[in-house]
Amino acid sequence: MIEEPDQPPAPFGKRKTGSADLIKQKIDKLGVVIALIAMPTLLFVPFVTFKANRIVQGQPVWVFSALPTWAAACLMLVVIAVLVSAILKAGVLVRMTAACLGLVTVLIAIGLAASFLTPEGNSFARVSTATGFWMLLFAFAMLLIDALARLRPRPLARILLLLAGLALLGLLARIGVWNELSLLKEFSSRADSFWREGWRHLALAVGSLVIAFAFGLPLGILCYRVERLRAAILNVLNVIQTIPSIALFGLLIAPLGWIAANLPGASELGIRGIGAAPAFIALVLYALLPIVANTVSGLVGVDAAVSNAAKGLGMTDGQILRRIELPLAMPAILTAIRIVLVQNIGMATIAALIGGGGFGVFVFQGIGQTATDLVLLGALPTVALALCAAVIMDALTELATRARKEIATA
Amino acid sequence: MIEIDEISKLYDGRAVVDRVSMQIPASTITAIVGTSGSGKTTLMRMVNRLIDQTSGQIKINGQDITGTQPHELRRRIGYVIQGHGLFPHQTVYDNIATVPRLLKWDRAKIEQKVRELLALFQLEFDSFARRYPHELSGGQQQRVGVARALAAEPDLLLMDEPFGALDPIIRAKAQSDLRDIQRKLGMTILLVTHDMDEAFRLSDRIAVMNAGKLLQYAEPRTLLTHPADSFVAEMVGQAERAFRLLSLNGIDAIAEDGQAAGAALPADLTQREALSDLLWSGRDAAPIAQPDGNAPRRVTLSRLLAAAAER
Repeated sequence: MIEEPDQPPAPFGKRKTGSADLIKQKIDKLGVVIALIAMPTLLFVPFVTFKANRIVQGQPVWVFSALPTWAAACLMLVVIAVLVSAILKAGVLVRMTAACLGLVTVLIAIGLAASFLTPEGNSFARVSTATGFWMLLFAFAMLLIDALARLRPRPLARILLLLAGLALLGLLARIGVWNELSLLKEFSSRADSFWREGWRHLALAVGSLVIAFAFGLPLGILCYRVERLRAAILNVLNVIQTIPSIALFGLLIAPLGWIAANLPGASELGIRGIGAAPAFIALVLYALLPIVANTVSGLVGVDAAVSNAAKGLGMTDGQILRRIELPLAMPAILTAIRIVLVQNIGMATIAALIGGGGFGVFVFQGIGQTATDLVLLGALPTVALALCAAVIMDALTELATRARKEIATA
Repeated sequence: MIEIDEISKLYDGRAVVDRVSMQIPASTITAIVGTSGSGKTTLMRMVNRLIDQTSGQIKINGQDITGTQPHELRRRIGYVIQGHGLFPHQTVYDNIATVPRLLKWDRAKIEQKVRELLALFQLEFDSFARRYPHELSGGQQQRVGVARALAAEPDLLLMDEPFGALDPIIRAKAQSDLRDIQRKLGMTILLVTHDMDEAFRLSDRIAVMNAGKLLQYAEPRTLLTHPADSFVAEMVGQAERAFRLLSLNGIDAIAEDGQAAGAALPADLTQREALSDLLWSGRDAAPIAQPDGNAPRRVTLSRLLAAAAER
């Protein structure tokens, strides 16, 4: 917790606080920063960009021209109300509610702006998000994150909050709030391929994690047991980590092409010099270092007295590993899985470069067509996936490592 | 009974344990003492094959230990190490049940054993069985460590500096508890320590080691009265020899019939403690607390002084 949300009552004799002290006690510093970002943004930074069609240069539009007057006034009021609760030291729950309210309002406002600005029956005009929208979103997200950090919800509560947030976004999308927004127009013309590439993306990220874990865990155990191998293996994995992904794809084309041409059945399995196979292998290779390194450090961290006692009581080496060392190294190993999952979700975007599919397809198409909204169509779900993975894995790690204390105090 | 015959351990040609032979009688406590690097821990760890000997032979109850798989041998020998080495992710119950589970005892028998051991170590089953090691005090952790070593009812218990991590008051209590439990269960205990007081307080016999060699293996009294060489003499503490001798026996051994003035001494006091009390209170004699109706008995300063010089 950064600061106490509520001030304790002032002790006797200290009643006469100066006005400066009073301000210090009542004002939240982060709230001031957020207000300094949000207020000028609302007034002076364009909220959306209007384009006559998909390709032309857009024109910036400010909040008061982008929204009907009543909606602009509502947005203004909500933003002010949220900022007041952020600046004054309100209770954590109040701050959290305010942040959520602010986020939802901005998200609805962007949809309203899109339908307000798009001329009736014009299917060429595009309304895209502009800096103002993102800065407001950023400001309120900071407020929410700060409130959550102070609230410190338990793991299951965090997952439930995440699900609630996703459900809310889904609901807003379903009732068509954003239908006139350029991002959604890009989506609706590609709905099929969006979901296909989405699954592809997940399959690449999770599949490579599973394979990397299957190889990395035994490799980590080997490194732990055979000290001479440890430095060698970790160095090799370190070197792999430093190879840029494009270079790694290039390196993989020749051997995989050879395998596809010469090994019967390989090309039927989808192994080719380009495509998903080299992307998958690259992701596995990048994932190995965190898994092996954390497995080794988790195992090395096991108290020598504990493994010594296990041996002295008559456990075989396998029993010591399964019953003592691996369970004690589990927090470190779970951390590695979280790192790798988030890293893989981000890196799987690159797979599209060599025809591996995934959300990167939209990113690279968008770059090629200078269509920012198409880039966002690939980037936003990637960020959302990574965020969900991080929240869920953190919660699971905490549940797994806290389980023994929970049982003990029950 | 453990027969250690000409046992040696060489590292890079250097003998860490050098042709040690000793016979440890069943149901006794033996302490191996020596400075660090004397080979005492290596000697002990060869008994349960945590270290394999270079040459020589160790027999437990007539059987050569190399005839059994190391892990199976260790399941029959209790093992306690300094700092307890409890498994931090397992409850007290699971820690104690370790060896019975390795031996595939059935559930009911394991639970009965855990209950019995917790009772023996004055830990209440209902409040301790489900706790984790980090929720116990140092003394409780140490007791659970010994309970875990005794779970499969071994004839032999090896203890490597078992009380090293405890503070002095808890250590004294743990030592006397161990003595009581050994008398009750009758197992053989082989204990490594560098604490001479501990060795004298606990053991029936003491083995003094230096530079890999066994210098003397004898009863505490013999070590004090007839040390084999100057190293042993120094080790057992020449300056305190008389007091050590007194601390080996209780006052009942030199008590006599008769009255004395002042507060009565508890009957289970050592002679050393009685001497201290008499010097402090300035008395020549003190009464010994007796059950009601028994004839009065006393301990005298002159008897104590005679005992201190007895050899």
